[in-house]
Amino acid sequence: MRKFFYSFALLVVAAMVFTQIAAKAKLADLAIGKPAPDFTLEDQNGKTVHLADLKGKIVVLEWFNEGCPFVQKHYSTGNMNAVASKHTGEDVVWLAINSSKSANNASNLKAAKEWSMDRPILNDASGAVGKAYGAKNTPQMFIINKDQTVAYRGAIDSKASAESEDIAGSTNYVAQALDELKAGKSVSQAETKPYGCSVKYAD
Amino acid sequence: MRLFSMTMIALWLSCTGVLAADKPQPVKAELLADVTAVQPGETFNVGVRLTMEEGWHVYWLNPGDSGLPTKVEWKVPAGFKVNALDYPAPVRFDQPGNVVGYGYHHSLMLVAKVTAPKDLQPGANIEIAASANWLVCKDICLPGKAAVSLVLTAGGTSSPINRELFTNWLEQIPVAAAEKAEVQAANINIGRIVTLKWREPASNLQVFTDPGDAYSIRIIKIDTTGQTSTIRYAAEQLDKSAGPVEMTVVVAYDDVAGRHRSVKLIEPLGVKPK
Repeated sequence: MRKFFYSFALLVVAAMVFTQIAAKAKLADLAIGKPAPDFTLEDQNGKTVHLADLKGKIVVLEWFNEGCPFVQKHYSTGNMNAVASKHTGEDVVWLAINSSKSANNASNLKAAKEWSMDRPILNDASGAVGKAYGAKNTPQMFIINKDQTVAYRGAIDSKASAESEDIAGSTNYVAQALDELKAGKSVSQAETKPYGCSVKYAD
Repeated sequence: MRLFSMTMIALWLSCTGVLAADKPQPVKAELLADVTAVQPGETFNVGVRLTMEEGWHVYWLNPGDSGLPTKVEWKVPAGFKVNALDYPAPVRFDQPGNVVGYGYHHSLMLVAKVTAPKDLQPGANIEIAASANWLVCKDICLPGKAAVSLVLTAGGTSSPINRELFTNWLEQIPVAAAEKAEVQAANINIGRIVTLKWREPASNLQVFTDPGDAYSIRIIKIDTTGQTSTIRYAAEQLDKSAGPVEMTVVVAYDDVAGRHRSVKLIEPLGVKPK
């Protein structure tokens, strides 16, 4: 009888946990710890980048649109490049993705040159990859773990503004998460509210 | 020297290239009052009015999936009190890719009530100033700001001015929900259900929440049957370490005369699902 009671209690707890997980999964387009949607896109030089090929590395995705003042804030100050070059290396790949309807390889190449970006800007003008990730802002950041599950999604930093002077006093969530992941820790702030322009999707 | 100037030109080009396109100025800002002269102890209205070109919008307190809130800071002479009123109910704009925004098309006036000191000396000039900042978006987004001011006279005869304009905007500010409806709320497994039993018919409900950065709110369903509306929403806590304990919910609706009206209520956050 006692054994039965324990099994029953366990079942109830399991059911409660399951209900909560199910509710949470419904809330999020793309939950932390879930597989990152795979994609194949072309960069500004016409080179193909396939996410699955990057398994075993940490991948940072940065939703990008050179015309957005929030993106400009992080480029005119050199902030995005500084964070990207500090963390990019053997274990970390940083990919910008442009899901604007007006994006093409030529416009991405122009932006990369003007802002001295030595990393891929992927052309997602169809918006398919942006929508698979639920990207709504530029900039909006995702970090994909070595096993290609989502480790972080949200804002670049803690101060939602288009003012350059706000960078100094803000917490860079992406830098923080990358430091934690590289140190083998779990990400302390795995989900934050992104801020910026809307992604200018085609439809 | 030649190399230097070429470098400088290159630097200048690289700095301006992306931003070089002539930027439109789609927002006009002005400061208005509903009096021309102020009596001792009198309370009057001032408002920052933003007028946007066709197709552009600015944002509510919670801009939605993207954007930035429109903000106004007031400055009044010593002895005056200023009380910024709530933002008028926004409208929702659905953008491609399921990107939802909350804000205002065409125009927005943010109103504050100003009270003059009882010992106000007649004849003095009263300068009311406001600094406003916003993000305005259409196909692109542009941050904007303006410092605006106006001078009123102390004492003397005041002629009413801009009354219709102020009335129009004041009526769009949400009133306490209890004034317009009987409100009940309960926790449900997915979040909360709020029931409004309207005293007068209300239609075309839109619900706006302002939970701050720590929470993400998803409106699941809004139902109106007869004069009863139910709103179901789910709250997801993004920042587990901190967060507000309550949030403002604004329910906008069309009244029997088809006018855009709104009520507000305070809802708890951090409610554990049953």
